[in-house]
Amino acid sequence: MTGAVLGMELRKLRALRRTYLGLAGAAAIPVILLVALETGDGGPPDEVPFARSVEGVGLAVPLFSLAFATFFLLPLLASLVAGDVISGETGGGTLKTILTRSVTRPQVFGAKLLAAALYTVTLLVVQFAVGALAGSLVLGTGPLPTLSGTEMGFGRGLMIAALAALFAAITVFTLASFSLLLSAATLNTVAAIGGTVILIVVLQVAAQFASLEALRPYLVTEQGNAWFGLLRDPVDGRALVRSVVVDACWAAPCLIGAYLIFTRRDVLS
Amino acid sequence: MRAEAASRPAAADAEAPALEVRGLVKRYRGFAAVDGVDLTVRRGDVYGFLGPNGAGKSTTIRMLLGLIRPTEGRIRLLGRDRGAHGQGALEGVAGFVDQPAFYGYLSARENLRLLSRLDDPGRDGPAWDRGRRDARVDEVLGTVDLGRRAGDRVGTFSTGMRQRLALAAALLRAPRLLILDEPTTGLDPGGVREVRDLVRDLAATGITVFLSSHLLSEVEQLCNRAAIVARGRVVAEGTLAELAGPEGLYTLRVGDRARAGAVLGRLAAVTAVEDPGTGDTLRIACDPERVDEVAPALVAAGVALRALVPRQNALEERFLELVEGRAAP
Repeated sequence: MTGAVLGMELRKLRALRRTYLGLAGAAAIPVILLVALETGDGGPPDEVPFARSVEGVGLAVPLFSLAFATFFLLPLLASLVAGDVISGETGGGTLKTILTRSVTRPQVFGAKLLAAALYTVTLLVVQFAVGALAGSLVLGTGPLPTLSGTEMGFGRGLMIAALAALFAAITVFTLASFSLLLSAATLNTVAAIGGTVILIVVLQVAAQFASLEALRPYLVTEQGNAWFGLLRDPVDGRALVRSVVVDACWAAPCLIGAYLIFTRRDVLS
Repeated sequence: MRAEAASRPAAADAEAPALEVRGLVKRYRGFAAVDGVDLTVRRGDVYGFLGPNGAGKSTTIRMLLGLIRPTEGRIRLLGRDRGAHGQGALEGVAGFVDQPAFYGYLSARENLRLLSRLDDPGRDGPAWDRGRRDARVDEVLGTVDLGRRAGDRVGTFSTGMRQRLALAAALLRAPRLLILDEPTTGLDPGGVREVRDLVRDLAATGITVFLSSHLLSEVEQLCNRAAIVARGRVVAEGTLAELAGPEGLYTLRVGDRARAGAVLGRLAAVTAVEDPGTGDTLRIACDPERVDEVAPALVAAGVALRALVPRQNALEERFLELVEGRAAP
């Protein structure tokens, strides 16, 4: 039954304009960055990883895009769906239509969660595919330098860059799960997306304070570049695992809270 | 439709009432929207749930459908306890509450196809494949006369069409109990007639219908039994005839009230005489088969008879009394 509800969720996503808006945004990021790199006089900004190594290295483009977008843009795009899956349904009154069929509320919640997760992964996949393709066509398929100073061939680089995108999806989805919680709690899509933006900004500001230095490694927003671990030689597995644990600690209360609210609340719309 | 209903797994208790509600309460911060409702709807009934707006009808139906949690009380649908069976209690039950809602950006057919996949075809029932389900969608769209608009986006539909689409969505479940909340609200007179005809047709196939309405005339036209609900409580319940009160009440206008009362009191057909004490009006209770004895008796005694009128709109009077709390039930 969860499969049937998931099919329904995906069918709805296919029919909604905002779905394509998000995907277009994800696809536009690497393209815009590539254009900016190619036409700019002053060269790429120094502080952005991989920006200096783009000469002849097409795979630097998806990685550069990832470093640029995981902190804010991609979570925002993911929230377009995660922040609406529950509130959009109650706002339109269709939740009562679904819940008077044979499906249980946990099944409906599971399907909505899966739909939001699938959309997040799709965003990352689209961004990676467009970035890798455009980068390779424009800049070539030169070997990708690792953060440890070594190099890897195009084939291995492609695989590592793809894994990095999927890994970044974990952090992006953790932020999107906060949207899902707000969507369930407020039944208001604008509040859900806006609230997520506020959370990201607040955490990023908090990370700037020297007095809060000790907290920094535990902030979800600081996990956005954990995929750097994949680009070390050898791969920094501990950094990756640590980041997954931090993400899980943020996502779990959000998702449990959303589940409890969704399965218990009176449906009055 | 009947054949499908029969092929579904038997209810927990096939003899149980279609709907049984005991002591149902929904309280919001001390305010009781539903305040101890008891209902028994037998199989095959077309049961009216009649009351003014705000009486607690929709809140009750939301609890029946599992959309909100009762504060207290017990609900059994086709013999299955709502609390014990959860969503499973809705097997064989379909309906809607308030304004039915669909995805406006999808066609009517697509809305119903998606919903049909959320229905359990029944544990022992035929494992419905997608093709058969989709064929059934077109069948029910035809039943509610939306066949020609099936491919149009629901966002372009009128209120009446949405109401009919909601009926189609309910019929997809091949229900044995249909729960409808104000099915004709917001419709033009033509739409009202169409929906009422449809409900009558469905009831004729043996489906039990539980229907809420704030319109007495609607309940009179469609239902064989009804409960009148006001301020969260059932204030009267029974067949429509029982609700209207005893038959054979007449109002008379006579020349001499006192003599007329004495004459009528001696007639065997007259079981009660009510003399208001002023004016020229008397009220009597009389066997309707023998009311033709009244006029000759008065004339024979020399009492002028100016009018003999059966009491009209007994049910409407009673309904207004009950919902406005003018008289104790």
